[in-house]
Amino acid sequence: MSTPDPVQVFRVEAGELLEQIENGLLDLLNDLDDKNLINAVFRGLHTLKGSGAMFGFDALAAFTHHCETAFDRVRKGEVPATNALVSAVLDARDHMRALVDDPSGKDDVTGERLLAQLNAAVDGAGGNQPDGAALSLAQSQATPPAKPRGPVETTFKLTFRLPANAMVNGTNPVGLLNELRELGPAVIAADLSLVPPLDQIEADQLYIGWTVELTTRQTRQAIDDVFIFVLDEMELEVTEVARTVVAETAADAVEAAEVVTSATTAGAAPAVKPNPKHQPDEAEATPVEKVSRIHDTKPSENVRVPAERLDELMDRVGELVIAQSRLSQLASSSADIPLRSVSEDIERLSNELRDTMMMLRMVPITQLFGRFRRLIHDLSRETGKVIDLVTEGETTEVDKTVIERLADPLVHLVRNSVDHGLERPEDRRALGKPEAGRITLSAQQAGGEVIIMIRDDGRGIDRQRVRAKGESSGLIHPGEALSDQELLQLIFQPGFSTAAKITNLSGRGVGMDVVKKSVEALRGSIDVQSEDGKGSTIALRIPLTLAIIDGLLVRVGSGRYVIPLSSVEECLELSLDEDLRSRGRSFISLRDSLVPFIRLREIFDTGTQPELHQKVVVVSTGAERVGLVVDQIIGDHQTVIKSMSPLHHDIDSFSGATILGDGNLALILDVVHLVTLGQQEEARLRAAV
Amino acid sequence: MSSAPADLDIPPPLTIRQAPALKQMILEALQQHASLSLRLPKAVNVDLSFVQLVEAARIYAARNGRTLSLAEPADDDLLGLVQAAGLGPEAQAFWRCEATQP
Repeated sequence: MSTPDPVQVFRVEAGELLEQIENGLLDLLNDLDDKNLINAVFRGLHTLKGSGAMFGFDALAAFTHHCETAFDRVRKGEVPATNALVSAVLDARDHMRALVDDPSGKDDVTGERLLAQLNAAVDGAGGNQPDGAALSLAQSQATPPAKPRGPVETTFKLTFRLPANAMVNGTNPVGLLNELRELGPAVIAADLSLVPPLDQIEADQLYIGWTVELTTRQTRQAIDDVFIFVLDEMELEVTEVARTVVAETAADAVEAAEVVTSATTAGAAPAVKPNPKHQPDEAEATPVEKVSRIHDTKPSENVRVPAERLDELMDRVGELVIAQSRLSQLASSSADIPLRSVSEDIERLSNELRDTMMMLRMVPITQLFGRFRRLIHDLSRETGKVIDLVTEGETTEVDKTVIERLADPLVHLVRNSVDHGLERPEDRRALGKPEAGRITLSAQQAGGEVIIMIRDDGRGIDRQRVRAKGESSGLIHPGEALSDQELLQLIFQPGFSTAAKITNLSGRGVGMDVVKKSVEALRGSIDVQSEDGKGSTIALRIPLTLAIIDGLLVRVGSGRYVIPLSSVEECLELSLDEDLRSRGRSFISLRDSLVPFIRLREIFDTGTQPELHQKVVVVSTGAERVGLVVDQIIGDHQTVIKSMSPLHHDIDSFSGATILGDGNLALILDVVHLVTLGQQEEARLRAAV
Repeated sequence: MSSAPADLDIPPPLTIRQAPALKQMILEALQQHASLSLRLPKAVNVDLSFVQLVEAARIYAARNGRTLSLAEPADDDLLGLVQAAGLGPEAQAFWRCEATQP
C-alpha cells in the first residue's frame, strides 16, 4: 500500500483547521467575550502556522503568524474582540485557504491588503476602547487582565513532560520554555533520564522532560496558558513553593503591608515580607495541582481514508453485487444443491458488504450546512440585511457524493432567498416583522430520500411578476391557465429572473435552472411553496445514495427496466378490459382519488401487444403520484447504478443503467421526469373535460 | 569496526524533518568507528530534535565503549539552543568541546 503524501495529509488537516477557525470566528460574532472561543481560534491559528512551517508552506505560516499575533493580543486582553477584527480574520482565513492550495504565496497584494485590514481592525479595536472605569470593566468582563496582578510574587516549581509527538505536531519545546521565561525569572533544568541510546531512539519523538523553578507575578493560569495547545496531552505538575510580597514604590510598600496583614496575621508587618510558607486559603488553587491526562488518552479509533479509496471500494462492491447477481441466476436454474447453498451465502455476504459500504459513505449533513454560516455572514455584510440562520436535522446522513454535489445548488438557493426573499431591516420593521430575517435550513430522512428545505420569512414570491416575466419571455402564453405549482416552477426555467436589478448575489437569470438540473441529476426533485409576505420554502428531495439502490425490476415489451424502490408506493393489476375502458382518460381510481397513469409501452414504442394482465406501479415524488403501466413485475433487484453515456444525456426518461445477472443491460427509470409527464397529462385531460 | 578516529560531516538542516536520516547516519558511523567526531554545519536551522539526537548518541557511545565528540565547538545559535533547553553544565561542556562523555 502506498504511503500517503504528507503534503496532501497536511492539506486535509489544514482544511479541517480552517473550518474550525471559521466556525470559532462565526460563533465569536455571537459572543465577542467568549474566552473559550478566543482561545480555540488562537489555538487553531497557532497550529496552522506551526504545521504549515513544518510542511514547507512558508507563505501560509508567515501570513497566519500575523493573524495569530492579533488574536494573541485579544487572548491576553490587550485588544477587545470586535466585529471588525473577527471579520478581518475571517477574510484572512480565506487567504490562508488559498495559500494552502497554492503555497507559492504569489498573491502578495491580497495578503498585504488583508493584513492592512487586520491592522486597521486591531487599531480600531484599541481606539474604540472605553476610557477610565468603563475600560477596566469591559476588560475584566472579557478576559482576565494580563498585567502583573500586584505586588505578590509566587515561586512555582513545574515538572513537565510534553507529549512524545509534540515536535512532530509543530510544538517547539524551547519556545514554550522561553514563554515561561517571559513570565519571570526561571531556572530551567532538562531531564534527560528518559532519553534512550541512539539505536533505540525514535528520532522525531520527544524524550526530554523539564523541571522549572519560576518566580512570577502572574497567576497559575498564566502557566497553563503557556501550555494551552498541549495541556490535555502532557504531564504537568505545578507546586507553589513560595510567595513573596514585593514593594517597588512607597505606595506599593503600604499596599504590600496591607496585603500581608490581611492575608496573614493582624498586627505589625514589615513592608517587605518574604512568606515562603504561605498557605493559600481554600478559595485559591491547591498548592499542588497536577495535570496528568496522558495516560487517560486513548488512541484514536478513527481512521482517515481518502475519499477516492472509498469510491474505488464502492466500485468493487458494485462489481461484486453484479457478479453475485449472475451467480444467483445460474444457481437458481441449477439442481446442484451445494452450488445453490454457496450462492445464497454469497448473496447474504454481498448484501451485508453493500450495506456496510453504504454506511461508510454516509456523512452527516452538518458538513454541508456548516458552510452556510459563513455564507450568511458574508451575505449579511454585502446586503446590510440582518440574517439569522437556523439549521435543523443536521445529523441526517447522506451519501458523501450527494453532499458534494448539493453544495453549489444550495449556495445559490440561499443566496436567492437572501437577495430576493428577505426584506431590508427597515422594511421588515415597517411590516411589523422582526428586524432580523430568518433563513432556515433543514434536513430530514423520508424513506430512501432526504428532504432538504430552505425556508425564509421574507416577502414571498410575487406571482404577478412571475407570470408577467413568464409571458414576456415567451415561457407561457398570455393568460395561460397554470396551477400555482406550475406558475412557481417557472422560476426554474432557463433565463428566468424577476429581479428588477442585477446584484452580485443573484438576479442574472442564471442559476435557478442550473439548480434544478443539478438536483435532477441527483435523481432528485425540487418543489417550491410561497406565501405573500410570509416567505418561501424550497424543498429538495434527494435519494440518500447514488451508488447502489434497491430497485423494482419490470418488463415492458421485451425490455427490462428498473424503478427505484424508494419511489414505489404500490402495485396494482390493470386488466385488459380496464385498460380499454380508460382509453383517452388514463386515470385509475385509487382509494377515491384519481391517479394518472402512463403506458410505458407507448412511450418506449415497443411495438408489442399489451399483456393480458398488465401491472400498474404507482410511484410518487412528494405529493405527486403517477402510475406506470408495465407488462410484468419481475421482482426486486439490487441495482448498481451506472451512468449513461454522454450520447444519451438528452433522454429524459432514464436516469442511468444497470447490469443484470444475465449480463444484459436494464435502464433505470427517471421517476421525477415520469411523474412530471404524468402530471402534465393529467392537467391536459382535466382541461379538456 | 575501525579503531581509527573518524569525522562525520553532518549535512544541514538540523531539524526534525531530517532527524530520522541523521540518526541513521550517526548510528552507522558509530557502529563502524570506535571514535567519532561530528563536524556540524554553521549557521543552519536547528531545533531540539538534533540536540536530543546527539545526547542519545552520547549515551549510545558511552554504553558501547565508543568515543563521541564534536570536531569543533557548536556555533552560537546551537549553543543558545542548548542553554535555552536547560541542558546541564556537563552537556553544555560537550557542546563547547570541553568534554566528550556524559
